[in-house]
Amino acid sequence: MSFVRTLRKLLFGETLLLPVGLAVVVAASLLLRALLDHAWADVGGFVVLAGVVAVLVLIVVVTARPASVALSSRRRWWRRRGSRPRR
Amino acid sequence: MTFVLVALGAAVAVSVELLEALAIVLAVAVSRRSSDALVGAAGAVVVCGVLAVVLGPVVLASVSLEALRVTIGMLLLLFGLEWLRKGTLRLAGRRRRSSSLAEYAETREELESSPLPPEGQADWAGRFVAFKGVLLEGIEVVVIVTALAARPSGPAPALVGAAAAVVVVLVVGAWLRKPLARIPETELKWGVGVLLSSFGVFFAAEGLGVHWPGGDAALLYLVAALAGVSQAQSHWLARAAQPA
Repeated sequence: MSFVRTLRKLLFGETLLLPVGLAVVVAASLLLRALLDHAWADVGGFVVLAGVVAVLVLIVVVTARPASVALSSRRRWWRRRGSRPRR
Repeated sequence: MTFVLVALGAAVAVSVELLEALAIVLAVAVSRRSSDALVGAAGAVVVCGVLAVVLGPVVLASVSLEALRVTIGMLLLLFGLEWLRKGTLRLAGRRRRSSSLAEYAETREELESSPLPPEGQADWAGRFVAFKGVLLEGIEVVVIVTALAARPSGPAPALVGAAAAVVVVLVVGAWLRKPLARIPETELKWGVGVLLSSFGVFFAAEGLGVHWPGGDAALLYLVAALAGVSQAQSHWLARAAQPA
């Protein structure tokens, strides 16, 4: 079961926001391509880039843990190995 | 220039994945028996080889050029943005730094609880851990190289990059443990995330009928834009975590 879960995380990432966000970017791009007609060929790339940047910013903000939690999990990992964390 | 960028992207992505697989196989070999580690790893390599032989031709034969570019772009974005997300969080101190040495130690710890069978009997626990580790990293390698190789200009740069990565990782493997601790994996993975995401945006937009200003040189400003956004967000997150 954990193997299947790992495989799913491998393909779709740790957050569903990533595949969903990319699907929204493609759908919005197809819609804009139909609306903008010839202008799409010149500006479409920047529209896709803006969409991807928005997805990146969103998934980073949503999945960012408080620094204290991230550091304490790191300390726990090193403590199990009997060594001190190094920055 | 695209040749160099694609080869570089494939080489770094494959190197990082193979290093992680190597750490797991080494852990099994050191804490159990090297023969069982190699049997498990070889089994996974065979499965990945079959997957690569099937996946490449099927993708190329069954999808139109426009849809193929969008599919490749989306696959690269799925991997690239995930690596970039983790890299941004790691650089901001919001996630544990990536370390194959840590993976090595965790695998050894995982196997310590399972007793080693007597000489002459197969060590299925060790074989399974080596198989699973190599298979999961290998699938990622197959998907990334297939996506980069399925470009209309041909598979050569992706295959050259992947082959170079295999040589580099074999040389590092000969050094064994200590170099694993010296490799700046977090920064390497962040760089791979930027490259794969840039290729993803480039191919997906081409598949959607876009003509990039500057042609292939657009990859350079895509790399700069994504790297800039990621660095800015990483600094912002790091500053937000510091007490006022």
